[in-house]
Amino acid sequence: MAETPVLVQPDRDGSPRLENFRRAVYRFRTNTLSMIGLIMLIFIVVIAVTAPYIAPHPEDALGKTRVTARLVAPNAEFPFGTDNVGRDIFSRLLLGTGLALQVGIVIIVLATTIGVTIGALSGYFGGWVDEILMRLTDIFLTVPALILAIAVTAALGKGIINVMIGIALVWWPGFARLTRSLVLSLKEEPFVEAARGLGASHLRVLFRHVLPNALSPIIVKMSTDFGFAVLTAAALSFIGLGAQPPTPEWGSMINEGRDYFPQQWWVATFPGMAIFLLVFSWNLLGDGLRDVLDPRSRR
Amino acid sequence: MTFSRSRLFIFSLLICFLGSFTVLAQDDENVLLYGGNQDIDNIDPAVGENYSINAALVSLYDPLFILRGEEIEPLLVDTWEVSDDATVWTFNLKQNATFHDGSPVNAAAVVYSFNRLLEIQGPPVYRWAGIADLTSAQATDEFTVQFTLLQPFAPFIGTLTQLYIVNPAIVEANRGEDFGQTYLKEQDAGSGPFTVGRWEIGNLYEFVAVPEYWGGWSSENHPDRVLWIIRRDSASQVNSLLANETHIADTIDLRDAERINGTEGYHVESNAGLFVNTLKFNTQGEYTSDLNVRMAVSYAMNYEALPQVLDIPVELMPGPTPLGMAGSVADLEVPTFDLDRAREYLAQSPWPEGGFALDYVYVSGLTFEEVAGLVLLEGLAELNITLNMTPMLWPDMVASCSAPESGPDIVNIYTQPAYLDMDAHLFNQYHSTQWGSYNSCGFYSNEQVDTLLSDARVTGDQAARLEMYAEAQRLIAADQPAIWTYSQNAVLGFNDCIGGYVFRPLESLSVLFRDLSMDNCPTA
Amino acid sequence: MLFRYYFLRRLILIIPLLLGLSLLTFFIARVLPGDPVGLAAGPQATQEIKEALRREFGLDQPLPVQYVTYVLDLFRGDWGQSLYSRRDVSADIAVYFPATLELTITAIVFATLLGVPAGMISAIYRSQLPDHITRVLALFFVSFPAFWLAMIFQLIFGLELNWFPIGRRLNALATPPEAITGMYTLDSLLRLDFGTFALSLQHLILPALVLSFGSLASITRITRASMLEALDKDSVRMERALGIPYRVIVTKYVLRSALIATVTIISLEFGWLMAGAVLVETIFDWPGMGLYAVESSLRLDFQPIMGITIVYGIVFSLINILADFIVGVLDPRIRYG
Repeated sequence: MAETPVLVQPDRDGSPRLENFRRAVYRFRTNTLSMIGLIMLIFIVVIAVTAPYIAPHPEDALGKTRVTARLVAPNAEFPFGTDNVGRDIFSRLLLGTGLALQVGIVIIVLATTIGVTIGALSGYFGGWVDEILMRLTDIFLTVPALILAIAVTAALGKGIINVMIGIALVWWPGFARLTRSLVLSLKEEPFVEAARGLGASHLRVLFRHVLPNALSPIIVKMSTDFGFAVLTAAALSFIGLGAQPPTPEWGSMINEGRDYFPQQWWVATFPGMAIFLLVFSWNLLGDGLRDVLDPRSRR
Repeated sequence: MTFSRSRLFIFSLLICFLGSFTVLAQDDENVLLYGGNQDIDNIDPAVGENYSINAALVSLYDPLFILRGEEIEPLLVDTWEVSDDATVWTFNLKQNATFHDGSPVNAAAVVYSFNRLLEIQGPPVYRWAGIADLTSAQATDEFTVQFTLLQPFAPFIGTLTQLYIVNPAIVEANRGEDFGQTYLKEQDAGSGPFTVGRWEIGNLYEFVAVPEYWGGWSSENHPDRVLWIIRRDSASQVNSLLANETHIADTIDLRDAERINGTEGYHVESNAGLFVNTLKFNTQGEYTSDLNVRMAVSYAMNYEALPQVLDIPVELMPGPTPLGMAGSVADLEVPTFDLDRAREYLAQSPWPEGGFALDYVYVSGLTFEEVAGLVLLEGLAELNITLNMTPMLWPDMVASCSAPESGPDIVNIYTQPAYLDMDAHLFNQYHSTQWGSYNSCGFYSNEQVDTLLSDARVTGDQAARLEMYAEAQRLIAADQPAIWTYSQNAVLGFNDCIGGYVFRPLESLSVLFRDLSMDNCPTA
Repeated sequence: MLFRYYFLRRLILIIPLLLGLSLLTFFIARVLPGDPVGLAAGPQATQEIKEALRREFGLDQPLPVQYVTYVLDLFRGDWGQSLYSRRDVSADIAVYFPATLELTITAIVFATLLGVPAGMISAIYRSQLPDHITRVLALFFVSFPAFWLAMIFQLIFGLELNWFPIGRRLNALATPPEAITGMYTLDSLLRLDFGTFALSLQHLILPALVLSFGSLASITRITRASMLEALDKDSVRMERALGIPYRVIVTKYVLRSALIATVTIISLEFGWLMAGAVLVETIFDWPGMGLYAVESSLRLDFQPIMGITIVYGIVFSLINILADFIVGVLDPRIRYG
């Protein structure tokens, strides 16, 4: 950390926003941990994309069973061993990578969309709109997300889509609160008032002028929440609300392996490590993003 | 950080050290430690019914008849007679039976207990639905009770193993607004060999022996106390058994069974029961109403693979009925795993090339049912039929069985007869009046079968009944309304110090604590 | 005066919040596609039996009537019955809640004992090796699926090393202390039964430790950030200039102001941990609210589900108020309006 950002003179051709972005990228690149996280994550994405080609037994994720090779300990043919119907755990993990990423992304995007919309409307319009929406938010925040997510998902019915919907439906209040406070402070800024004065519509002001300036903290929250969302989805799957077989979903795989633990430790252990690696690399990345984008922690 | 962690470490060592000094007070009484995989939610005989509750009820209460091994023995009943049309049943009670408070178990108590069941309409009551009502049971004198049924019902005695007699005085004293349900949830009002001791919901249940039990103890070394310790997962079941933390463990899989049998001083009891697994077709469904489709799917099931992939010992089914059941037909022709024949049948259906999908519904989280589905999925893929694995929560599944329209194409169902009679196995599964209940989720309908099953119910002559049932089984097998997979063994792990265990094909997991004996059982 | 008024108002505001919550859970519970009566009647029940039960439980009434009845009963202390076991929800919660509370409190103590010093070290050695190590470690532990880590810990510390029992609150043969609070460790201490105390603590440590990892990262991070903020203040620079030893400054001045943010986050984390207990309880056979919630949800047994969420609602609201109160005591400058 010998260098400081000041030494770099960004080109003056871009907008101030672009310039900020360049500075942010620079600061991010000097953060070793985040770079490690980013590299790990890129690696995971590459695995997700290439899994069908590199998995030794891709058919094992589609319903193929191997009755004669049940619960085989890790060996050359099955690097992570086989599960209770003889499927290659390594292949199933590789092929489940895409789903794991997808689950986290869908939950966070859904929750952000709901939360930001509610928070922005609430903060921008104030008055009774604010009152109603914030009381609703409070109600959701009164119960732990996991408990509510279990109840909602159980009510919706088992399945990975319902897990994602169930979690997103209880996850948005955090985003709503955050967005509301950001919008409240931005609303008074001169440039917003200027836009209003020029006759721009409410929606245009909100979406073109207010929200873009609130983006950084929201992105930070999205990145830090991603890991929790993946863990929560895995937890619901583990309880037995997750994907339908033979989908290679990591949380369900741990659930399946629980009966065979610890004698056949590999069935549950490797999926757990896969979840850990995904969440850990994302958390490393998110930690760096926070440093870069959140002005309070810039020191 | 390092500092506080190491301190924590020393602290925890200290705790372990302290713990090892704690002596668990033990007299020379026999304490049976039972590792049960399930909670005992409610011990009201009118409300609860599952294997753990039944084990508790038959210890706290006495039924009129009791299942011992394969026999139905009179317990509270001394002698009985039945009218020729199997409608009027008269029971003379033993006169020395007493409740825990010393009052006699008389005819009035029997009538009271039976009517209480009918009033509360809990899960056990379906046995008598349409067969008896509140006027059926009458006390004709102090120790004689007469049941006049609404229709002839030959297997009536079998159902009386589930009629536990409660002490009317205690129930009335605690009647409340709910017929004593609140009181009886955690307390007993019975005459059985045990009474309720410590009762810690979700954790542990204690049964304390009644030393002067009116029926006498079968062994001097009977358990003085039984502790039902909940062990929710199978790994901890085995570990506890081998560590002498328990003496009996009730959910043991194959690998654990090997481990137990291989350890000196322990053994496993594994017996084929009447706990039967069936994959039912919705015989009113879009594709599965076609016999050729049902035959094709049945020939695509790799039956021989099932015992290999399931971690429990199973016996493949010879047809609709397990061989252990009196009246089962052994020589039925049933499908085997034969993809060529499967293709032949499919070719005769309206969908010779396959190309459709079937939903396979099973209870979410039940590995046995999931694995059976995966085996079928692989076979059906060869026929170009997709099997949608559809795990459901149990109540959702029950709800979907209420009508043919919502009924799944294929549903995995475990059945166990409610009493030891072929009627209890066939009637609720294959009689068309039973549609809407969980066991008849296949919505099977065959007039001839209906007639046979109804007639056998009201026939007094046992030989004639068995013939009717044999004919019904042949008719059912020809229609292939289900894939009959396997009956599952009841597997219990024992410390060798436990004696007196006799396998019961029905109630196969509910151990009769009253008949056990203990010989110097070690306790960790 | 203002201070007292503020908290009184906060307490009263819990009531409408709980009403809203009960409406929400009622909505979730009653849009269930399953057939709740099927649960109570047993799988072999005929339609007539089901209809009779539907009437008995009032499920044949219109939904608004059902809701009003439910809320009125709630205020009278009748929390309804589980359809599955027909046990009173309030009685079950009275057993399960203290178990979860005991677990959560112990976990938050662990998380604080580990997290606050870690955050302090991180701040004092800002941008040096100890800082990097603690930050990575905190992120490391929070990235594990709790239920998986619980299994691994059972294997290592329970089965292999044999240091701790691998589940339940107490040995089967040991008698739990007569209930005062329902928390075994506290009750046995109050009854001066040190043998049972040691035993129950032994059972408590492993699950509580696993549970605490979930909160380690945020407690560490917040402590670090607020310490840094406090260390940067002019007053601290002044004191350093005056030659007061750094150690004294940190412990006497900085820690106090840094604690405010930490208290807030600890209270928030308490809620998180209570929810996280669901998973740890499942693995450790800990008969608490989490196990109860999971079992009830999987059975679609809605009466317990509603009772559980309302209890969580009450606890959460109270904790938040308590946190505000503590912050108010620590920092008299905060004004309440």
